[in-house]
Amino acid sequence: MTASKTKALMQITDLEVSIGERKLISDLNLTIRGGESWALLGKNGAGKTTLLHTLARLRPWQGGGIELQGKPIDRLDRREVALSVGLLFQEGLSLVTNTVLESAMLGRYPHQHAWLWDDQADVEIAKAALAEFKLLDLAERRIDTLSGGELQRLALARLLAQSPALFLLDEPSNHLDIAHQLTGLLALRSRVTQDQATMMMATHDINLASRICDHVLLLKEDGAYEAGAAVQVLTENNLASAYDCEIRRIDSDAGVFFTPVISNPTSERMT
Amino acid sequence: MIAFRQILLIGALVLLTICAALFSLLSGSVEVTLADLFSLQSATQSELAQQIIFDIRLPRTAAAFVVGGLLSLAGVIMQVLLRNPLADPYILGVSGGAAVGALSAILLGASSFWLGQGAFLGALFSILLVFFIANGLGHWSVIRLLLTGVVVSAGWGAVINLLLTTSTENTVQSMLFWLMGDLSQSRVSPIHWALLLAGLSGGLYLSRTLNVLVQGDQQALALGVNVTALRLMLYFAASVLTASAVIIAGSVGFVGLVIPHMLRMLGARDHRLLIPSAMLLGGSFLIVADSLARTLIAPQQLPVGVVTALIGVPTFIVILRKSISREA
Repeated sequence: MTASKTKALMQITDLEVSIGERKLISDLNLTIRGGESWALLGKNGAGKTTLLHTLARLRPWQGGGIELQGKPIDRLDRREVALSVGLLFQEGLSLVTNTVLESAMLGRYPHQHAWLWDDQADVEIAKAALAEFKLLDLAERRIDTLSGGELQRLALARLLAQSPALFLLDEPSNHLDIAHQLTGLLALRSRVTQDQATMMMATHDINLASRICDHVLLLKEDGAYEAGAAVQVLTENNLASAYDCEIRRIDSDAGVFFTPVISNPTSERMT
Repeated sequence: MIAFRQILLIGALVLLTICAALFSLLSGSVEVTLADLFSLQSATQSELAQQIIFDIRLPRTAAAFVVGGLLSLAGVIMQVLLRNPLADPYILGVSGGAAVGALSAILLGASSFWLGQGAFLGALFSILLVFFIANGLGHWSVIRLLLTGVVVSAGWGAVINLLLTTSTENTVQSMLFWLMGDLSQSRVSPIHWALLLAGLSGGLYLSRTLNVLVQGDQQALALGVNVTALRLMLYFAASVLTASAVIIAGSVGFVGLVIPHMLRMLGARDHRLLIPSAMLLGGSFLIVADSLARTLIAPQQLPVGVVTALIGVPTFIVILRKSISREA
């Protein structure tokens, strides 16, 4: 594997994250390298969003450390963090009335220095990002006229325009139809990994995770976790203990699928 | 995206400001023609006109422009800071503090110099009071700032009423003029122009960051904005701009609330465009309002705040109805 030779993009050491009294993550040790794609799985309230926000330095953590490209992330300037780490929010875009292109241009904010004028290069990057998500035709439309799926693709395009080294995606498949989920996210993955960047996406969709990501971080009860190559982490046993529900693996000619077994009376149906 | 359309808007507003200034210089009880205005330097027969224009109307026009510009800039900043479209420059109590200072000076029979000093001290006290209460209780949040400001503002309102009810009839008259906003005694100094210019250039410098901040605090943080420091800066900037306007002309209402909204409706949502246009439209709006205030029922003069409110209230209702129907 070349992965072990690549320098660590993010090094997480003994990380502990709690909200109030509740410990969500404890003793998390993880090395994230360039070119990898991670799925972040776990049941509702397991701490997926909180972990992503912590890695983007949006909230403090309770112990351990996070190093970004060899430097402690809490010692970096916010702008330096934003140059390397980008976050797609679960809530999607705020509907402040910009045009689609203006909204995508906001992703260039950490790169821009001039007071007033937009560098043509930045505009081109934003347009290329829109084209990647098939939004270029809508560039001059106001964003409050977009559909939910178009808004989600715009949020992804803005993140692509930001061009960080680490893409943190919170439920990127929200509002996307089943075809866009797969094609959109596969396109994003290939764009991300071809530049030796990395993505980590939190999702409820185990099947989407297994088709898009090569690594999985599976959060379990009480701060425990499994992390590693997708094939090793995505086992019936691991998933059952994480989701508190029996989950069966189905091999088909279209790929591997996981489905909860609902005959178990204690199981909670995932939607 | 600064494009041709945007430059056109700025150009139109510059033209509007020039027209407003000419209108203001030419209107009044003594008739002065455009020809008089342009032959002023050479002609000796219009010495009276010269005096009226340079000594009376021009300083007042300048004051109107500066005050309108300061209030509109402060309004734009307040609306971003509080994430609230109904925020105006006075919402956090700066004008209330200034009014209590000024009214106390009037009550003590002080000269207009001390009236200005009283307003300055009152405003400064109020700015710091709101800051320390909002910040001292823990971390600095929008809702805490807004609540503190509104409560302090209400407190000043009570003190103002107390001062009004305990004053003699003569002083009440001048107090009311001050409270409604009045430019008849206003003169602007180079300091005021410098503050306006500082507000404009500071606003332009931060305009890109403001575009990010209106997307929400979390999104702004994720894009590399130091939100806490920025909010502090915006609070003090808006307060200082508001305080200067209030010290010059009292609490002129509606300019800071309505002008930013009008421009957003005209498509100036990008702060790189909104900030300079707000200054120009706010300035020219107040020039026109003040010209009307001194001519509508001449020889008696209305406080300019009455005129801005009379124009501002219907305009605001129209804007509000339009934005509601667009959301529905």
